[in-house]
Amino acid sequence: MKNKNFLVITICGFFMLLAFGYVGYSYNKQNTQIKDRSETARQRLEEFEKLQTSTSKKIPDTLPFDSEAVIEQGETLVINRVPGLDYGKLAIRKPDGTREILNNTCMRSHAANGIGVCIDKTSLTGYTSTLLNLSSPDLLPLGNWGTLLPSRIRVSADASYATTTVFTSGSSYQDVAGFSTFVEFFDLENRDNVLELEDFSYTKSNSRFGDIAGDFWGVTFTPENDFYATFGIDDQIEIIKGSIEDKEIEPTGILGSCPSVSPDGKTMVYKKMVDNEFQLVAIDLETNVTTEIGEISNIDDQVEWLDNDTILYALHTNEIAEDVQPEFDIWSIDIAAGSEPKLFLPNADSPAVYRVIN
Amino acid sequence: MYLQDVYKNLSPKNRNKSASGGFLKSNGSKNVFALGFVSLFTDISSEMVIATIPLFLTESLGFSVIAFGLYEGAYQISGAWFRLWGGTISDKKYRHKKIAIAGYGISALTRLGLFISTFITGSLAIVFLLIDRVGKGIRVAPRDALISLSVEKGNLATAFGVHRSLDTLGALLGPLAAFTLLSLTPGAFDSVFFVATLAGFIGLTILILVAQQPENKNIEEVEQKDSTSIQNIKSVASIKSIRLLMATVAILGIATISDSFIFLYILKNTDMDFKYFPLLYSGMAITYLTLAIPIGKLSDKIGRKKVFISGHILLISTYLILANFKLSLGVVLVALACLGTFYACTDGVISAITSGLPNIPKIGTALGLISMTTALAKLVSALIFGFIWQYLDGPVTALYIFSGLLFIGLVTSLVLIKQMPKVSYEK
Repeated sequence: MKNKNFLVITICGFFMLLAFGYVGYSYNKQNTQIKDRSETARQRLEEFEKLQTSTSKKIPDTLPFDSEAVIEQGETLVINRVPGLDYGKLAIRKPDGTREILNNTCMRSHAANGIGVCIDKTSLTGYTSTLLNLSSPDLLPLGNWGTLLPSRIRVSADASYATTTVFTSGSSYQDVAGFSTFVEFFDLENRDNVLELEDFSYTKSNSRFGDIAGDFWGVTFTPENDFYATFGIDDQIEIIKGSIEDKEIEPTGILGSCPSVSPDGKTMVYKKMVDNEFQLVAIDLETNVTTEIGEISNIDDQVEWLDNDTILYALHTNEIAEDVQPEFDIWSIDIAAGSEPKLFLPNADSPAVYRVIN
Repeated sequence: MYLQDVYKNLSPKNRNKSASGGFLKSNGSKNVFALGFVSLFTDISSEMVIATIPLFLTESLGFSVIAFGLYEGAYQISGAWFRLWGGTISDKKYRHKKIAIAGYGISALTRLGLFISTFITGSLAIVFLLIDRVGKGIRVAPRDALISLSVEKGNLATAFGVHRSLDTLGALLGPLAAFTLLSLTPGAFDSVFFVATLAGFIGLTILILVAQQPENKNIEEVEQKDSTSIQNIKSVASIKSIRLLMATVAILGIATISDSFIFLYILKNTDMDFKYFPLLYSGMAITYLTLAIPIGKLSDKIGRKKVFISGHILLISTYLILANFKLSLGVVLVALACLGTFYACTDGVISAITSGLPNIPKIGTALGLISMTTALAKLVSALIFGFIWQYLDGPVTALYIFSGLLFIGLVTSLVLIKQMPKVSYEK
């Protein structure tokens, strides 16, 4: 019987060793792969930066130099996607195409008018949004709030509001097991004031708004701090317009998703379903004239505006996305029909072109 | 502890000798601990998979949300019938351990299948997840039968308390192990499934080599007739005390709100930080695993039915707390502690009540019937609660309605329980 005891311990010990061995092997394999990919990415960056300095640069007007500020108008806040130790850190793209890596790690970020918002993972399943003071050299955190798995984030042009879209495992009982999204607005001046888009009332009766099985996602602010967002139920997806002040939303009749309004508020770019593929479309908000944009790849996030005619967006660097530390590049394209995309910054995503008003 | 002691002492004569002693002094307790560790390792294994599978299916496979919902539904429903089947086939020739090995073995092998499918095609995983349900369904009743046959009837609730406590510990450790692995090697589902497979194998090894099939004290009465499964089920289901117990479990089960709704309700109605949510689930599980043994002991002492009923009174208070108070961290913790205590008062205790009934020849079938009734009642409950939440007045009304249902259920079950035969070792 003692032999049997010994047998049990030996077998269980063997299984445990096998488990630890395999985990060690996976860990080692992943690290080697990341090192190799990091090397390749660095070579790409060098080539890209060389190319930038030899061509003429388009630098937007800058405000007088602020020695304390972390980021200047005309620079772009991005998330670094070079595999390795700095992966996931905030970075600033300088007008010459080089990057300065900051110390904060973010999954998604956006910034405007002195305020940055960074969502990062802070526990096994929890995420935190942190407000960053961009005028202080050490990116002083101004406050934070807990959130769920982040999807979209935007700061209004005057930095009075931030909005996040997060995934939740079911906001109605029907999809307890599935995924759905919800949108919140954070009043950055009076931080106790948090608004849920689901609580807004709707004007111009549209029965679909009342259905709790629907989802909101992807908010964009207008210069007046009104907003557009996506509302989807089943496969019906449309863009709605809303006012934070009145807590009201109304349909726009535009079928599409992930809107993004230009800095001057005149144009909106969104994704429209054309022949079962997403097509980027620019709509003139005064005339309702639409133009198809010359980018055919499927873009995940909302686009960002480099200026009133050019958009920025991130795409996977490689055709098959990596499981670990996936790589992205930021591209730019003129919204006029027939334009071609240009590489804006390799190995980065989540671009926020930094602007200051007043 | 030497295994020889376990084997020597498991003979029915010795088992009955320890009648007056406490559970730990009884000889079969070692068998209960062995089965507890089988469940601990198996639960680490299955909870690792359950915690990662939504991520795996949606992230790795690009599985659509609707398909995922369908998969969940099939996953839940297929379990109920196998619970009864596993119980009844294990009664034949008194082979509870063999059927338990089959159940645990199937589950361990499906983990290996999941591991392999990460190298071939992810959609193969669905097949293995469905087969896993079969294993899970089959093993419950024979395992509980093994526990109940290992100890003196007066110690049944304590024995189930010990088992459920170890089982819940495994359920807590599983997700922790999975998330630790995924943060160490992100996206490496193969290592999660591999470790889960090996944890399952460890459980299986303990079951095969350490756990024992206790001899049957009434062997003649049980195995002389060569009856079919259907006849078995019919004969057990015709026993009055089993019918009363099934009715009680059904009525109370329908009035019990499923955990996922409770968590969803808290999620939707609180202003607390989201990052505390995993903590809340753990809080409930820790309450359950700490209280399972003392409450088991208590119910052996003062009467299992009393404790079972008290657990449901606590459940009504939980619903009323959730419906009436603003959900601050403190209120939520109190509610979840109540919920954990409710499980400690009911989950193992109901198996103890079932297996403690006098003159039940086929214990696996009896446990299977109760287990299946519970599973079906849960399904009906989820449908009713979901319907009220969405189409009638929302979750708060649903909480009140369920508190009311539970109250009516309690009064009814008190009447039912009164009609059940008194047993000598119960007060």
